[in-house]
Amino acid sequence: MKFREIFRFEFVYQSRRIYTWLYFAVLFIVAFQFNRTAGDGGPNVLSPYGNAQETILTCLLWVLIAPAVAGSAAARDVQTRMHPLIYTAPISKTDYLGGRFLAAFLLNALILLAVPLGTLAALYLPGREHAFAGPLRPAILLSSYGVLALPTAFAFTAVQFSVAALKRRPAFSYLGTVLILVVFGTAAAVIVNVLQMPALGQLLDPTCRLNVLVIMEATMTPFEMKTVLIGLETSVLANRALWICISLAILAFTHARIRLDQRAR
Amino acid sequence: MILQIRGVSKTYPNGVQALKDVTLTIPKGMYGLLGPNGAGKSTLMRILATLQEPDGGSVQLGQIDLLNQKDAVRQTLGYLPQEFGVYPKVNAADLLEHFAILKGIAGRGARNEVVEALLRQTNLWDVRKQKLGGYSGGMRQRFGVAVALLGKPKLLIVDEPTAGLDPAERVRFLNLLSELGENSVVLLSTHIVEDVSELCTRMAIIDKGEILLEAEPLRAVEELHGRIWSSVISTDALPELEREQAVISTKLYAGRTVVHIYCDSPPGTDFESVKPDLEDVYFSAVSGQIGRRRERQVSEGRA
Repeated sequence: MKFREIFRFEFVYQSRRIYTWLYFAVLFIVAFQFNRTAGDGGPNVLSPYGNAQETILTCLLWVLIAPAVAGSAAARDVQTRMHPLIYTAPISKTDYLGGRFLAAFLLNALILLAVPLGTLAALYLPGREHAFAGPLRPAILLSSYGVLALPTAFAFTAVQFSVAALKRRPAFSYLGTVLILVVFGTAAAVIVNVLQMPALGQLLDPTCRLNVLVIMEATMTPFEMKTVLIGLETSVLANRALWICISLAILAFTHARIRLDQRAR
Repeated sequence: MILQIRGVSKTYPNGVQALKDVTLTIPKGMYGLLGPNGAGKSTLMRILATLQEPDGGSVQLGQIDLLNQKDAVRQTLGYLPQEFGVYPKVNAADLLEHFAILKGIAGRGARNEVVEALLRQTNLWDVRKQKLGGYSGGMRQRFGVAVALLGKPKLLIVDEPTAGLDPAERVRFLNLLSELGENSVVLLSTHIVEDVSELCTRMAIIDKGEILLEAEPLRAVEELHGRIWSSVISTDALPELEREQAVISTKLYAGRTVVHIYCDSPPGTDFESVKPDLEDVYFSAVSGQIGRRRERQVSEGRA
C-alpha cells in the first residue's frame, strides 16, 4: 500500500512537470529527424543496425539531458526540506527508496519510448522525401528498445538515483552520469584499443556504444546490418545482463548505506 | 503512556555539546520545554522524533524503546519541525492525502474525512486546491500542523510551533494542541513563555544543553512569591545594580530601565515586590537563582 502510494505520487508528480515532457519531445524530434533525413538506405527502422545505432545515440543524448528525473526522485525531499515530515512517517526504507526508484525508472523508460515513437512517426506521417520499400519488422523496434534502451535506462537511473540519494542533492545525479560515462567508457575503450581485449571491453561499456558503433560497424557485412537483430547478439545480451547486475548491486549498496534521518550538523 | 528520557547526551562533530545528560519524565498532557535559541531544544526534539541519534542515554515511550524501535514509534508519532519545506507545485489537499496514506489511514472514505477535518481545523479548507508554493509562512506552518495531527498521534512533538503564526492562528493552534493533550503526550518546545504558561501542566527549562528546572508552571510561580522585586532605574545605573543584586531581567520602558531582581528579603526602599510570573521563573532559572544551576553553585560553595 505504502510502496504503491510512494510510487504513484512520485510518478504523477514528475509526469506533471514540464521538463519530463521536454525530454520526451527532444528525443522524439531527434528520432524523427534521424529517419526523415536517412539517405539512400531508407529509414533506419528498416535496418536493424541503423535502428540500433539510432537508439544508442539517442540514449546517449538522454543520459546527458535527463538525470534530473532520477535526481529529483532521490533527493527532492531534502532539497525542499520536506524530509523531516517524510522521514518521521511510518514508512520503511525499502518502500521509500523502492517506490521512488521505480517511478524514476518508469518515467525514464517512457521518455525513451519517444525514440521508437519518433521513428514510427517519421515513417507514417506525411511529408517524407524518400519512399521506402520493404515491410516494417516490429522485432527491430522491440529489440532496440527492450535490449538497448531499457537496460541503459535502468543502469543510469540506478547510478543517478544512488549518487543523488547518498549525497542528498538532486544535482549529483549529473555527477553520477559523468562518472559512469567517463570511468567505464574510458576503461572499455582502453581495454579494447590498448589491451586488445574486445570481448571484455564490450562487456564494460555501459551504453553498448563501443560494441555496436565501433566493433560491429567494422566487422558486420552490409547484408548482416540489414538482417541481424543487434539486440539479440550474444555480446550485447551479455553486456546488458552484466549492467543489470551492476545496477542491482549499486541499488543494494545504496539501500544499505542510506539513512532516513536528519544528518547531524 | 509516559515518555521517559534518561541521561541523553549529544555532541556534534564540531564540538558543540548540544545535550548534557538530559533526564525528564513527561506524562500525558501538554509539556512545555522552554529555553533560549541554541539551548538544545531542537536537538532533543529531533532525537525524540527519531531523526537523530544521541551519543548516550535511553528514551522509553510506554513499552517502546524509542531509540531502537523507530518503526513502532513512527506509527504513533506526530512531528512538527521548527523548519520544514513542502513541494511547491502540489496543492494542500493532495499532499495531505499522500501523508495520510503514508501514516496508514487506509480506506478512501475514512481518509477523505480525516483530510477534510484537518484542513478545516487548520483553516486551510478554502485554499486546499491552491499550490503550496503560493502559501504564506503561516499557512505553511498550519499545513505542517495538519500533517503532524494525522492519525491522532500518541506522541506529538512540536518544535517552536507558534513562531510563524498570527495571534488568531496561534490561539487556534494552541487549542488544537490542548484537545490532543487530553489523550496524548504533547511536547511543546518554545522560547515563548506565554505558550507554556497558557497551556502546559508541566514544563522544563533548558539552557546550554542541560535541564535547569523541571516543574509545574503554577507551582514554580508560587514558589517565587515574595522573591521578585522591581525597580525603574536609569540605564547608567544598571552596571552597579548588577554588581550588588541578582538582576534576572531588564526591560526598556519609556527611556528608563525596568529591572527585576531575585532576592529573599526586601533589597531596599527603591524596590517594590511584584507578583511573579512564568517569565520570572524562566529568568531566575537561566540566571542561576533557582533550579539546578543554583544547586550546583551552592554545592560548589559559590552561593
